[in-house]
Amino acid sequence: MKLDHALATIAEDIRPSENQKVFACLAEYVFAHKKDIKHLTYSSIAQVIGTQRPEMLLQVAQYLSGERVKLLEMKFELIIDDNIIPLDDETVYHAEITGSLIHPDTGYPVKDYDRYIYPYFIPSREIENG
Amino acid sequence: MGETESNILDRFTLKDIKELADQLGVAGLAGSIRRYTASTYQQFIDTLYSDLNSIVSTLQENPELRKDDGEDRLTLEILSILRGMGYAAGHETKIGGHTDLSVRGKNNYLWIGEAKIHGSYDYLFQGFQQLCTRYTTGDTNQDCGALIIYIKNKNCAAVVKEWRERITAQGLTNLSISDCEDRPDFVFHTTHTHERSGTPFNVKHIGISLYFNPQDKGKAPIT
Repeated sequence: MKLDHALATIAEDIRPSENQKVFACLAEYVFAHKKDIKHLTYSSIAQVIGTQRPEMLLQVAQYLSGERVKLLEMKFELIIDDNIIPLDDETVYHAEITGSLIHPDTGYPVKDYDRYIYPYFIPSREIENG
Repeated sequence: MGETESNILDRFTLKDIKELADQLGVAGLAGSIRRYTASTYQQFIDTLYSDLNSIVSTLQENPELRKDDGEDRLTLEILSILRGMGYAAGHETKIGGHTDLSVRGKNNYLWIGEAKIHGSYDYLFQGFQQLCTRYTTGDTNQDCGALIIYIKNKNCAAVVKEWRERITAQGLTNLSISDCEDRPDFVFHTTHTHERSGTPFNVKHIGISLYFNPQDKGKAPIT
């Protein structure tokens, strides 16, 4: 995926059109900093796109992480008492379907597991030099 | 962005996302985690069908807005919502012909939907045949599709029930039919041997009720 293709796709998909620049802003940021971005949080995304609307923040992250443009990859960490454990996709999917997450280290279910899973983003492998 | 808001977003958890999804009504947000993490074709299909269920509900809520819409217009609405959710969804994508709706995923996942406004059962069967013998490969990670039936006449359940009986009588090889748990009166599943691949092909038959004939405004009764 190249930047101009991503921007054209955003222009095709995103309505109303005044929202397109918000999506484009994050796309351009990701392309410009793809080698430096290691752990992009929702907070960082909010600062990049300059929004104070959570629905816009979540929409932008959802769209740019989807297969349609695939600029970002969503990753997950289990953080309990400053202990950080990366979670793979299969583990998170299974937790979402069953409503139960087994702690990778202890083997015990984590009560209210979704309170302890923190998503973040990295540039996807599909980004080429644009 | 104030410092307090920035701190909150730094601690954004899955639970926060789900709660916001409920509060804000952003299309597809609640299912987004499953969408990102689906790592098998079956998980991709299950998640897509869950999202399509939500989209069908949205379409059915305002039939008055859609009463003059043709097949393409209705399908484009589904396409638009799928794309907003981040799906690599296409309309008129050339796959053996011009498909109504296609969704691609990683690992060569492919799902194709054929959409028809119900006019006759022969027309629905024509759509089914387009799906199964023209567009789909039936290959691994490509053996699921759907017939999307826009029903503008009344008694949607009767249409779907009749269609289910008609498809049963078509002589498809190794046909099996199963109920849909979520919408048993309006959706069912079939599996039959795909002619091209020789392997089982799974079709979800989705009835979408778009009948609109309000009877609350009429002539005043004669007194």
